[in-house]
Amino acid sequence: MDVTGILLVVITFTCSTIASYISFKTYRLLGTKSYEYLTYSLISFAILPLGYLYHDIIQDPNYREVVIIGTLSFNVCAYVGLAGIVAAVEYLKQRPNEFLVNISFVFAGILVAGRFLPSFQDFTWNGTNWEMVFKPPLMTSFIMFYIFVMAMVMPFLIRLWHRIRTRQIFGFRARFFFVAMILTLSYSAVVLILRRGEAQPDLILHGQSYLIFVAVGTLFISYLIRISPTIFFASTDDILFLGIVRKRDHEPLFEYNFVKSNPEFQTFLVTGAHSSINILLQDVINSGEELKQIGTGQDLVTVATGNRVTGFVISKNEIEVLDTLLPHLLKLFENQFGGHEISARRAFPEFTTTLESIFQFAITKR
Amino acid sequence: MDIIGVIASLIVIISAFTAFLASRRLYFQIGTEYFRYASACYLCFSIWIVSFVLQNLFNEPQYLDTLDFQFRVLNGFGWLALGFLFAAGEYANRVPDRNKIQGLFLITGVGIVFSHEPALYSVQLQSSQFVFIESPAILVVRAIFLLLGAVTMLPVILGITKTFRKFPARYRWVQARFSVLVFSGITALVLIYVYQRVAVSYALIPAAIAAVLFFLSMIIILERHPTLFFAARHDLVELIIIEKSGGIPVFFHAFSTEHSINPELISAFLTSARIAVSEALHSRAAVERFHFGEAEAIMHEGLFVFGIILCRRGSELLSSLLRLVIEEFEASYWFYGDPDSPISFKEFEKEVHKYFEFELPESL
Repeated sequence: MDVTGILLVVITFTCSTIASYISFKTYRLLGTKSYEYLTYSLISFAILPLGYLYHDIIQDPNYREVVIIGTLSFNVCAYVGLAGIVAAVEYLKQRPNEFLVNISFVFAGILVAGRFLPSFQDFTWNGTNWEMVFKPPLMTSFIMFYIFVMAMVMPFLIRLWHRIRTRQIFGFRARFFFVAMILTLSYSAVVLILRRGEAQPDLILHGQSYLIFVAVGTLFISYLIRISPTIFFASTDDILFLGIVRKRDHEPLFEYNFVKSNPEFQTFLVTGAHSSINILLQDVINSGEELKQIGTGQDLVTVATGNRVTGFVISKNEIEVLDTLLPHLLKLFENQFGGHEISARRAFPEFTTTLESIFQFAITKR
Repeated sequence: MDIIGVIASLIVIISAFTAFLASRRLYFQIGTEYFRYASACYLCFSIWIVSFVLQNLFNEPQYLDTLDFQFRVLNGFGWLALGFLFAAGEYANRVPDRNKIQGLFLITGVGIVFSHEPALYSVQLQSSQFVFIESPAILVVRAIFLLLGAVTMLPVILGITKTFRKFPARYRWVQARFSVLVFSGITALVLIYVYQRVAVSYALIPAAIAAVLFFLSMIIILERHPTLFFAARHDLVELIIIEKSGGIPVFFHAFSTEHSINPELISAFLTSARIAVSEALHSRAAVERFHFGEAEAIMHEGLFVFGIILCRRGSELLSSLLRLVIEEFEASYWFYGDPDSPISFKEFEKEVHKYFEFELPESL
């Protein structure tokens, strides 16, 4: 029995399961495609290590077929998980390139099938442990897929590092985790390629040590999501302005500038246009729906209506998470101030704190 | 060498490549993921058919080992072609199911690799013809793939037949071509499958004829009715073209007769609303859309006019079609602006019919 291997399996499974749960809860809350694919990926990474239990517990060459089927059936989930990560990162963009996402799933299918074929992989007992050796076609596909995934994910990691550095909410711990994740990623890539190649070096490396990266990576993701579920969604300059007006007469009640250098937006023009557009076009188009977005070539105004107030956010891009956050914010505003007769624009400093906690992802470091 | 087989295969390659070029041109003109994936499908088909040229050129035992690897690689393009075809069918829907598409591509990857495993897939030479021997594992994967593909394509085909029932006179000849398209496509796939697995050399000729018919029908349909595959998705209300300087509507077309709309009122209102919103946002760019969930008002600004489409149910296609309509309008009436030369724009209706035929009443 390979105790080290079993320990790695348990740690990785625990970290990935916790991360999947947190991601799923956040997906239920925010409902974005990115979180949907992230949840699928984290579930795949939780399933991945279970295959190694066969590998680590059944250390008898007479059970080779059982070990192969058991190990590979779970291990191949990693490739689907990686394709899911590519999808999750791509769907953060305003115009995701679905062609590349689909190609990543073709790659994943190639690797999933390749792992089961005897001409692509050797699975042997070396006297003390099982060894999986990739033949050149599988190794080539493996390396190409990882390069593809890194090329798709690297720009996102760079932006993420920038946000972690520029947000007050993320301290030393987040930076430490991020650096640890990058180091273990590099180490794991080396381990995987060397250990799966025919000429295996005599290094003090456990064949499953790459699971450390999976554990650290998923732990880091769950930590980030717990601290700030919206961290992935916008850079500091994407959201420009938020305004809340009274529904019946469009009296501005609350305004917040996300970027201090913003010019002053003439909110009454936006709300006046919104109200008239709503009435006239609903009648013309005969649609029961409210106006939700006004798009120019440069900016986007996302609109939501509560019972007594209307809120709108001006942003540079379409940010999927605003569809959930803005109505949520309006509900909080009405709960807090709905009982008062609000007759003039007030600063509502107490609400500023609420807004800053919800829109933390969009606020520049002060 | 089988000269007839080589010539038949080359003709199929040419027709597949022509379909690729036609689809690619429409992708650059109209956009939409459907045309992108359709182009990729036809290109992959063209590459796959190269294996048939090789089979007929080098059908002698000394070439068996050399060609074995080529066949496996080129066979992968056959899987990719079908994957792209089914994905294109899904993207023809208003809200494509991305999980289904990704599942299709996952199985495509599995199929590509299984073709490279000698234990599952081998090539033999029987009676001067290459024959592919497959294990049950590949047949199972292929069956699942084709089933998923059929489930994907069926709603598209049903949507198109619904359109034919709605507009029987307009699409009379298109119905016949579409039937030829579907029938020849299925026949070609079946006959190619038989030809590759049974040493019956004359099966290639009918397979080639069916394949050429498929691609030619597709090209004709795409050239004459490029928006046919999107017909079931939309519910348009009005198209208005407005002169920028004065906000006066110069052309309007009502798709819906339920509601009578005053185009002057709408034009004046939307012109002011656009200016107000642009001023409020200090935006240099013009307003492009008002989005109400499924309903939308889409706008496109040209040089001296801007256009609006009002719809209860729209898609990404409408922005591209509106852009094309505005470009055609300005190209046709670039000299407009002379108050002494009033022009009737009623003849522009024909251009609208060309792009929006899927939304026009039968009488037009």
